[in-house]
Amino acid sequence: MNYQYNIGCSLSNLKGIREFVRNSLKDQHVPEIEMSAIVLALDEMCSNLMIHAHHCNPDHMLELHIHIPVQGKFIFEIVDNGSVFNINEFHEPDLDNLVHQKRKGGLGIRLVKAIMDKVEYLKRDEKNVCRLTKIIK
Amino acid sequence: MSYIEELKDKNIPMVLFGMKEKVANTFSILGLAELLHITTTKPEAKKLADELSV
Repeated sequence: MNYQYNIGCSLSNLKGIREFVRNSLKDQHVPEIEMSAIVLALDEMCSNLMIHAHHCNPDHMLELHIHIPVQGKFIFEIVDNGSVFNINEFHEPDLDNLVHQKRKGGLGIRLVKAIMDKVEYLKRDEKNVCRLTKIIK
Repeated sequence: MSYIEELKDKNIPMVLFGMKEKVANTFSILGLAELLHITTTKPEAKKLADELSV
């Protein structure tokens, strides 16, 4: 099964992304706790991209694809033309350090890596693709 | 998270309670559940806060 959602890079569109993900997965028997985590991870990835790669320009477009090749396997692809920030190359600061430094935020990448089973980056048709894979047994 | 250290410095106990399951799960994923005091109910939270402030 395949689903696609195209949106402009405005943070006000994140609500639509969350609804799209929930609606696309609603018949897939995904437990609510997993569903919430998936929605949170995709919201985090899309908002990071909108803010850092597209400076919240609503004229810049972003595509979210959902592919479900077999039951329990979910492939999410975020496709855009912005600059790539590979979260696999980012070393998350230690949690104790974040607390000690009184940092607000800095947990998004840790969250995405913990929720998803795999995060990959690739190029397709001159576009950047961030592919997130989630397996639910 | 930015207030954890400040509360500790000022000796102010903080106990969170009544979290929705999805919120508790997020705290657990992040490891925040290990850093914070979390209980299920308000009476449990008050009891723990009293114990922590001794």
